[in-house]
Amino acid sequence: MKKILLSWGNIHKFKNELSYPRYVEDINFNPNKKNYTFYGNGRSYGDVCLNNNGDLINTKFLKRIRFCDWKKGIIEAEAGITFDEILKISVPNGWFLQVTPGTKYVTLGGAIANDVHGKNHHKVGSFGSCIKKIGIIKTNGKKSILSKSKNYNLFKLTISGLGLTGFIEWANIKLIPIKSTTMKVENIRFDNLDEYFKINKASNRWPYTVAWFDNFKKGNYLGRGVFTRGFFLKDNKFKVHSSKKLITIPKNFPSFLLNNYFIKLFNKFYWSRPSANKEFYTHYDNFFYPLDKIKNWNNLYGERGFYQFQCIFPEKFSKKGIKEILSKIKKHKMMSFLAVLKTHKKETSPGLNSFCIKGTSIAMDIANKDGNKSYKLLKDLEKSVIKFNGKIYPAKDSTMSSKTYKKCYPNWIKLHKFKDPNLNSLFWKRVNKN
Amino acid sequence: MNRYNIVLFGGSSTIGIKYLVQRIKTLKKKNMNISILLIGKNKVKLSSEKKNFQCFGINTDFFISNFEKIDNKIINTINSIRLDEVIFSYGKLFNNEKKQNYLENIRKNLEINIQSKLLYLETVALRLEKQKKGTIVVFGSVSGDLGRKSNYPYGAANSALENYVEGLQHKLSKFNKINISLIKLGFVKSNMTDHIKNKNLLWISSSSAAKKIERKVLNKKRKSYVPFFWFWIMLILKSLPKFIFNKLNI
Repeated sequence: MKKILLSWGNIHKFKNELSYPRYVEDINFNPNKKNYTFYGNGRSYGDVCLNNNGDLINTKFLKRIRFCDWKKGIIEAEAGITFDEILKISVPNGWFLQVTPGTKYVTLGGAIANDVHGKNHHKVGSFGSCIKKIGIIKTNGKKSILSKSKNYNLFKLTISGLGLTGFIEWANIKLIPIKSTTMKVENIRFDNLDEYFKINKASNRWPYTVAWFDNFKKGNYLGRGVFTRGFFLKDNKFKVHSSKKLITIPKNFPSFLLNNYFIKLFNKFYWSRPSANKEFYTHYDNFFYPLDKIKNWNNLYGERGFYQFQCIFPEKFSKKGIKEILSKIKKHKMMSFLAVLKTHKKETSPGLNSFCIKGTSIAMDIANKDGNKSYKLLKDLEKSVIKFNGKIYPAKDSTMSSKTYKKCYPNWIKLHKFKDPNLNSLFWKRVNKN
Repeated sequence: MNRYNIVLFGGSSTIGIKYLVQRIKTLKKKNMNISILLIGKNKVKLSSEKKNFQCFGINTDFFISNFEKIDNKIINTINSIRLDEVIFSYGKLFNNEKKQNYLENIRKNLEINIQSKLLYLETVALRLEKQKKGTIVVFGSVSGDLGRKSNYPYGAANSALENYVEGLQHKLSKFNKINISLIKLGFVKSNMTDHIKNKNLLWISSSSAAKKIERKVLNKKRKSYVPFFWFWIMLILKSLPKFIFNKLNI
């Protein structure tokens, strides 16, 4: 029976045949079916984990740990394990994920396929940089182990390969040692983009940096926001995060509540709250995963869902590119309350189609409004990305054209060549449409 | 640290593993040194479970058995270790609408779901009698309450199992420290029921079932329905006049 499985943006509603294998051995590929997609925990915003009229294999039960070495900080686990589950076992042993995105509910397989990045990209690069080995299974049943010394080409293509090179069965990753689960955090207000770049430069020695910004402001206050930087303490006190949620957003939440007036008010409050310019100590869960405290926060955007737009501009065009993006958002009157700036260093992950480059990325949520309003804005933003030699992040994208994708990711042709012929996704179908 | 030995018959059964994980969480809080023995039929699956448990600091071993025949190696092992808790969670649901291998399937159903289970159960009970303490958790099914056309061979096996467990409970009732719990499961999402596509509100997840089962076992319930509302559903079904019951497509 065909059913709908959603991604985090709640936009694409297509029916697929679903299966939930309990063990890797339970996965049976039918050679006559050429439309398989792997679905982890549905945390990618767009359509990379989805399909239409295909066979969606949900990996949520494939999350066993195969091996761990707490002396060296190595863990090998099946692809369906989430970062939440990895941290629950690694943190008491004094190890943390080298790279983590803004939610701990991504799966290991999804993190590899999208080569996710985090607040420490300027220090360690994307997730691919901590992967030692990957085990994949092709739909013809052939198993391979990929690493820097074995099948290196396929290794580079599987990291950031959008799950198309084969089923990621397991991965062996390197963790980083921590001496505490508490972090020292410093929030600094900045008045505009120029100030952001100044503070960011001065914070280069901090291991974790990110900035939230208010996209309502203009003129001298264009890009006003709060810069956050932090590091782990060394007090040898370890406390694993709790899974408790503050609140759950119901499925049919009235989306009109999230209108421009509310966002304006929220942004004003967020910028002027006392802790926006303060030094404090907090648990890693609050620093890395603040939104995980709200269960299903994606439902805030109602039934129509939302788009997430993340692009990166090379260093040379960072300021110009971001300014143009902000002015376009204002022109289209589509505000976002979750807007983030992050400056990246040169990518160290081996992924051939990784998103990050040396430069600055900007990410924001855009509600899916009536009458193609949001779609038009995204298409307009896409033009700016191309104009300034930027890139759009496939893990969050839902609208990028084939032409843009191929320009942003010139190595797509290699992925196309090494792609498993029976694997596909909505995203891949879209960006390969002529 | 006190040792706690658990044997799981059905080492790759979804509910068995979920219940085991639930028990481990509880026992770890009591600082127990847990050892587990998994008995199942698929070496690759058991091996991946073993590796996973070992990463959580649990001594784990496994035996391969297809449960169609009694394995002396397993019996010898059971008789040589202290058993703190033994879980019976294996079983096979045969589709008795298939005309192919119809009688063969019924024979296999008897071997797996009754014959081997009762013999292993008896062996474990004898061991517990000698130890004068220990827990047996048997996962049965609500299908044992009433024969229905959709799965009466499986139901009959569970009915026999219930009767046998009642007998053992009676026999060992003089030992205060021996607890035998029969859990009659309703619709639980598991490897056994993955092939059923339409799952309505009566279905619960295996992890939610595991928590409920643990509560029943720790409260030393001799026989309980999980989820509890199945007691009422089965009571209604059993009380239906035959002319109505016969019209039901269940």
